[in-house]
Amino acid sequence: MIIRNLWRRKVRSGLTVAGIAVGIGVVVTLIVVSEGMSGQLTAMISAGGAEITVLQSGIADMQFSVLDAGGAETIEAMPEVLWASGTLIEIVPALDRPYFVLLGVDPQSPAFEHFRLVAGLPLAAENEILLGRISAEFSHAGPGDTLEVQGHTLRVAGIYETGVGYEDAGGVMALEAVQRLFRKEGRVNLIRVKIRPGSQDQIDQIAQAIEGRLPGSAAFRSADFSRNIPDIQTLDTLAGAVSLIGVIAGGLGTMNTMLMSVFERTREIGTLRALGWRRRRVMGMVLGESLVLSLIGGLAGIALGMGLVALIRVSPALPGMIPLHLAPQTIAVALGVALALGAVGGIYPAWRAARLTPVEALRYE
Amino acid sequence: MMEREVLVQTKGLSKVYAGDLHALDGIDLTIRRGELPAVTGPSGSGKSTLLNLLAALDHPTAGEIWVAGEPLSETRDLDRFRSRTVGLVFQLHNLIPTLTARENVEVPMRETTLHAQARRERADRLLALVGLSNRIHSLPAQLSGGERQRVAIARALANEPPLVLADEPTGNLDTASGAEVLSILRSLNREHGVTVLIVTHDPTVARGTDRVVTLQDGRIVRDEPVGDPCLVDLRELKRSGVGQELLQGRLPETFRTLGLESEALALQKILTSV
Repeated sequence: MIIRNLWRRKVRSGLTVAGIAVGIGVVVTLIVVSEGMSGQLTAMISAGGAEITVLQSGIADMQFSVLDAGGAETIEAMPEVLWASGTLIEIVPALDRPYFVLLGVDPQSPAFEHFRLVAGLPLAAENEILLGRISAEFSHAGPGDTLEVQGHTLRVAGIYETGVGYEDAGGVMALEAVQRLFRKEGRVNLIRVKIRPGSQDQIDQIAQAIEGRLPGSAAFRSADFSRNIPDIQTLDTLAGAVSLIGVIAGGLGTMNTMLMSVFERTREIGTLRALGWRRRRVMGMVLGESLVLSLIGGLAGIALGMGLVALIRVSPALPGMIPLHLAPQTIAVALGVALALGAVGGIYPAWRAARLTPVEALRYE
Repeated sequence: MMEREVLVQTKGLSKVYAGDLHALDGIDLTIRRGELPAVTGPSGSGKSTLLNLLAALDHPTAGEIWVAGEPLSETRDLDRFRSRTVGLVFQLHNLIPTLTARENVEVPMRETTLHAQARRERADRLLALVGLSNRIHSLPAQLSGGERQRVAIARALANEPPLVLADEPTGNLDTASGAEVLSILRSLNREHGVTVLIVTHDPTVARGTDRVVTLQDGRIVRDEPVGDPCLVDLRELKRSGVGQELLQGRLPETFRTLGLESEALALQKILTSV
């Protein structure tokens, strides 16, 4: 009965579903992008299994973080620490793209094992670079090819894959080579710290100890890292605000549709009440219609959101950097929000429908 | 003959609408189980108001209604009363346009614990009773006016109520369909013992029942049994001016003039009995 009531107002039901779908689609897109970006950051930061990440304290973006490269040795001297490795991150135009993430990592450090070679040879010279798989595919470059960075010609030694979009869409060079290329000798952006097995339960204490030994530094658990980055926080806030607008618009649309349908069916609702239908059942019918509408809208919204993410992925600015990954939690949030919309949009019309006395409703023309 | 059990009783039933409109004014009415009464009267006489009160669709301003001995004012669950105790037939069938005939008949059953299979079987049986076995899957738009009203009658019987209230059930139908609907209501009463109260302004429909309750300005002005339809016609004839003159003046006079004294006496006897 619910489905048929919706079907008899196809156009209006369709428009309502579309309204909800757009709202949910935006929510899904923002969640997937934001989760993707923070997930990628976390994966990048945790490379080689590093549990702790050290940055300059009070910094908005890790690219602006400046630490003394010697800090890595200071940390490595701590008994609980297995290794510490400094990383320099430079974002430069290269390979005809506005953003090319160039990483500087010590090739001797265990952290470098994260860059698994899939073609070519390891780094052997100062002017050699390993390209990420996505980067290589987008620019059709392979071992032996060259590219220009900062006015220097670099030779591609090999291709690596880490599974992290940021890294696979960039390249890696020896730390000291990057430092010289960008005139940042003795500096790194961040230090990754791997803790000795057996000290895993003391991560927070070790992080505190690191901050004590390196004045002006901030040490985080790598897993919490993305949460501590203002950029990601801003993205999350923005996502929340845009989602709220989408959700409100969707909710009003649903309410409008359901109210109109209740008004139109006043006599019919009066008949049902006269035949003994309880207020509860009438409310259930109207609410059920609105929930079905919103559920369909929610499912369409998820599809739309994933479509938008797929579009973002093929944009040249962010090639493949955001994984097209739909987490069960994202589906749950999207459907949850959609159903909440249906409930909020349906409750008032349902209450109006149930409130009418049968004789009033039957007299309604 | 033993008097049958009282099914519906009203005492001092009144309904006053805003603006001091006395739609009903102290109605005392008793309907026994198995009766087939008609409530008639000009428009605005309070017929529909009475039906709405009996169906518990509206509350009386004063007075009380007892159905099967239960005072309606003390009935907590009016929804249950509406779905189990009364069956309603409206002037405009009021079928749900998106549901098939069978599904429409099942609508009141949704408030019961009947499972789907049992609901379907009962709906099909009721549709057979009103002669629509071949229309089970039709939507209201695919049915004629008379057929729609027959589906509505089947729907009124869905939860096997002891009382069916029909508000101008033939009001929107042509003569033939109206007669058919009326004959179905009569056979429900005669063959299945359902008490059927018909509200109508149509004297032909009223004459088809057992008893005619006439309302005027919210009061009962006449409440009398309907006998043989011929006698009813005769009674109406007797009431009219020309009829009176003919039946009680010219006709007996003619009999006597012709020396037919016994025939004149017989006519007089008939006229006093009606």
